[in-house]
Amino acid sequence: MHPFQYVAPANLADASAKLGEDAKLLAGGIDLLGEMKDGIATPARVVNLKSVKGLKEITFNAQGLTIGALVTLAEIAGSPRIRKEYRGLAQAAEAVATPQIRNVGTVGGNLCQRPRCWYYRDPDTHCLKKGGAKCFAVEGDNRFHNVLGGGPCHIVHPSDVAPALVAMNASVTIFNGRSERTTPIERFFELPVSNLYGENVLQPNEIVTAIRISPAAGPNSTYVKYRERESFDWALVSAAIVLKLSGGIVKEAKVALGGVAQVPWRSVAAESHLVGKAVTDDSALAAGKAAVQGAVAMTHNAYKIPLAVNCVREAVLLAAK
Amino acid sequence: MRDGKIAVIGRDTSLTFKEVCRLLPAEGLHARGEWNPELQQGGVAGCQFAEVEVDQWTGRVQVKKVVAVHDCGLAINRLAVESQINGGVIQGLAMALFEERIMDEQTGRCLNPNMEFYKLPGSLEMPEIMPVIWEYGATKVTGIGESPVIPTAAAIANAVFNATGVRVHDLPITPAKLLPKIASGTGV
Repeated sequence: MHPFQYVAPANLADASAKLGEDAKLLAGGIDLLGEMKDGIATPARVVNLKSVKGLKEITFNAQGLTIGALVTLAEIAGSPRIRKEYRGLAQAAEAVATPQIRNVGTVGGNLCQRPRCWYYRDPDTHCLKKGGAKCFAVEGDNRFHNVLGGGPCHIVHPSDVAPALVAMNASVTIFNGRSERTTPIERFFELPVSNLYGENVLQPNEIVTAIRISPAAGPNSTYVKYRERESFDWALVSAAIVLKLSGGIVKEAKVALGGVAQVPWRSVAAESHLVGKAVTDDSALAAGKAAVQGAVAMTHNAYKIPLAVNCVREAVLLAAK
Repeated sequence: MRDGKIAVIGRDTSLTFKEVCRLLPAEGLHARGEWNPELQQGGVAGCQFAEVEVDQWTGRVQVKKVVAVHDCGLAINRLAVESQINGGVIQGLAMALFEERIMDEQTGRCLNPNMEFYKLPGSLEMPEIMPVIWEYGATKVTGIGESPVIPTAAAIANAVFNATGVRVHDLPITPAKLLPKIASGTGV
């Protein structure tokens, strides 16, 4: 590992002032240390965010729910009230990695983590996202890469929590060094055509401070994650569903997919197949098929398309229970 | 060995392997002897049975139970023999469903030189494993080191065929390989 300066600022303004092109933020460190040990991140300075107070609260109020950026995934999964009122979010947090990682990993870090693409993570492969000339997944082994969102970089966003938050219309509070702003989470993530070298709108000195969800998602929300290995794995595909039901009929629906695109992928088409109908095997399957409209398989990942259909179908059926 | 216990020739007393180990001194036991070819035999053999569940919506294979019957000749330390069988079955399951060294044809590099994408089964992948030591009054030792890992992947692949009518000839059997064949009903 390259030598680096370590600072532990007392407040957000100091933390932001210390960040920059060559200085990275340390929350749980689950992703940052992985990148540093893989040799793909070599910051001259590491800025610990955990010394800043006030970022670890889970607050319920009339407007909804606010979760501080340093709240861990275990705390979200273990909150009985989140599980009751924002069930899909608790399920998504619980689906991440392992208990040890969830004890340390933060919700802010989970949203801001870098991709797992094995070309990106290899320090000796100079891929497009790292400033190189080509995306190696195009002609290479792309079994885990995207089927939606196009190119020219073909990663999938690795976060489980992100699709759940997209389905809940969450927003992200960002501190820019002087003031805070709140961005709807769908506008937080960026496709490669807008941002090739990163995955979200954050400038180098900006810090995610909180997630807000308003109003409550309710109990008819789920997160279903399909993976090769149940014990500890990234999603092959995943689906986050939020339904508002009245008299057995869907009044509102939100559908967001993970594992299929460079961002958590909201599917308005799937949502429109659910609204105004009862949830049945047929309507759930129709929503699944609508969710993959426009999907384009790469050479090794065609299986993701029927898998995504089935994942949305199962998640919709579970959300209605 | 006499009736599964450790005995001394010419004496009546015999102790189980566990009881003998309890008598070992803290600093260990030093002994000297000579290899006696009369004490060993060849002919290691075994067979395994696997029960699987295949999720037709995800293409995922869950191994529910493996019965592993192994002939190791005379079993001296029965616990060690059963543990070795357990370990071999777990490794065989890994071979069947998870392990794959992935090489990139463009660059010649290994794409998964790590525990993240070179996948080994974890606790949630574990089946019930029933090791069976095949007893037939053997008085000579054969061995158990390598054999338990050999049949498992084949048993699992055969069980997948029994469940779905689909043969996957190329390990590991992943959702990516299985789901298209189940979905299209192409079978073999």
